[in-house]
Amino acid sequence: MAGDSSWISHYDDGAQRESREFDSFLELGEEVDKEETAISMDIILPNELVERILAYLPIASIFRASCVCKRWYEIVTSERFLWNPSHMLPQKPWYFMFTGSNEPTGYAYDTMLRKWYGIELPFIENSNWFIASSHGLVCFMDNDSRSKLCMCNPITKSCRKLEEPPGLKFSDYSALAMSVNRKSHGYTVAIVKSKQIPEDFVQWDISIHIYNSKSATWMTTSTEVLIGWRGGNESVICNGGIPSESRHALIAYNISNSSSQATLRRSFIAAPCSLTCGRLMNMKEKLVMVGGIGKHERPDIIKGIGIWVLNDRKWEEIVRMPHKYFQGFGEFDDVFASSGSDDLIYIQSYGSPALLTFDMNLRQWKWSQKCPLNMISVFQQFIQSVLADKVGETCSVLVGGEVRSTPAIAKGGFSLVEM
Amino acid sequence: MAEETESTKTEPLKTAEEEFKKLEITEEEESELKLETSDHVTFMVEASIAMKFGAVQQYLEVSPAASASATAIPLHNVASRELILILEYYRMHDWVDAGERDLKEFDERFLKDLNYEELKELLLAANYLNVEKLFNFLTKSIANIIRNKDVEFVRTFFGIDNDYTPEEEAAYREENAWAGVKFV
Repeated sequence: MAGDSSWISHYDDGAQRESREFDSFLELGEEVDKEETAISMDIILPNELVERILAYLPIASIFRASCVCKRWYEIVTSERFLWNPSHMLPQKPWYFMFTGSNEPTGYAYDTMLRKWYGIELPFIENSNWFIASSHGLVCFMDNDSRSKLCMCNPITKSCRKLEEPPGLKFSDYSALAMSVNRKSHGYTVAIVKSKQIPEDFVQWDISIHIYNSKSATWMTTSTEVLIGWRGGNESVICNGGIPSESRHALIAYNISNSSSQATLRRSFIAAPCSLTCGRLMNMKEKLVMVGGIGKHERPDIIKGIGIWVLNDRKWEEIVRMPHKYFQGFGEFDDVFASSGSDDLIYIQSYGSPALLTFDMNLRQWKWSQKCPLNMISVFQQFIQSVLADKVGETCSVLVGGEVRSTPAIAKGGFSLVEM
Repeated sequence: MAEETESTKTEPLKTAEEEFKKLEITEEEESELKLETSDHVTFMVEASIAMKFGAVQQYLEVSPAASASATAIPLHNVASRELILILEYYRMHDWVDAGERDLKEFDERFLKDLNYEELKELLLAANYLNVEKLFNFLTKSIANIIRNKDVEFVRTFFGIDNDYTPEEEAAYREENAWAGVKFV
């Protein structure tokens, strides 16, 4: 483990030393222009030292560094470099959004450098797929058969196909969640599927399927028929539990201890108020929800946006978006996306190019830099937003908005909605 | 009576003086360590500073006698000019009266006075000596230098030959275009 004790065993004397002395001799003769050329072919820093230097760079510079030579490419893509958090600068999550087309391309925003990057996602065929992300890894699931699944790192473009999940092949609603364990380097994927029981309008089949990267297999941990509720398509894994969210209630489900689980119906946690565009996010193992607060008489018109944290099975309001920011979105299309990780929450309205961030730690709202594309064409057909973050060293993408191209589904489309 | 009182008075005084002398001697003995660089220059270095060097600690663990004896502790991979710089850095950072601003100014000047080669040599020396503070300062400073530079500059800075074929490089340019990779 060179990771924690990165002090490197040094060179043996001898040859190395001689070359360095030769080098210094050269320097006496020629005054090298410090800014322009400082060339020495003799001092080659060992990998471990290069690693320590690169660890201070922002993610884009790190990838630029992989183009320097093959050795550096190996350093940057090595497991040790990618997973060693001990000397990494704290990185902030990135926000990713698709462009208006069906192509799986989009732009990622790095809030630290206040810069947008054009990124093409691997594997994913079009932009209406389900996306979940955690610590820089992203999980995709297709929206037609809901059986094609893939785990990838969008920055290194490495991908791994997952086995087809069990359960209903064609569900009416599905929710995808994913969580990376930074210690074991393993990950867990959860899919919540729900389907209306034929010719019955109040009963829904709901099933939870969990994939563990260690065993590389799926397990169906729960199946139940819910009366009067249906599953939605928003869920998140947080602290070992997978809550599936709704307009009115949330199911908290303990994935690590499924046997002692009460029925799903009993694990309902009521939402704080009538919400639209509710999103769940794992913020440093705290379950946070962002949602639009509807007008009293017209719940489909958003009058404000709130952020809640789940404490002891109760939602506590952290903050409400100040009016000037709410207005800053311009004409507020009543559909908006939000996404978050670590301390940072991104909020974006589909009708406007503005991207707003809220820092949970500093309690600070901030507008992001404008995206460098032709906004109009992009946002007319806005599809989905994804949040990217950096895993130690690898940057990646997380999920965000689950809004499908038809806003009608979007509004009612997340979890358990009371019928 | 008078004699007696006098002797009892002087007694403790003497011992105090002796104690003081002893203290001075031991302090002197403990306060400096002899270090010898790769170009065979010996330095007398304050123990408080020398003991910050992991390499010195390690050496003394193996041969504890060296701390008291006149034998110099050899630093095989550090030349005298690097040791001078390292000592300058640590003396400043150890100085109790140095305020945050002083240190910042010092760091900036320290860095400005180094050319890129010296910077790399100093990093190797700091790594060999296992001096954490300076090592972190240098790696961070080098990262700042290359942060917004193109690939060609980084190659020059580190003295690296491009071993990609033109085809590989072209593929790379495409793959990492998002990161703003510029090939000259």
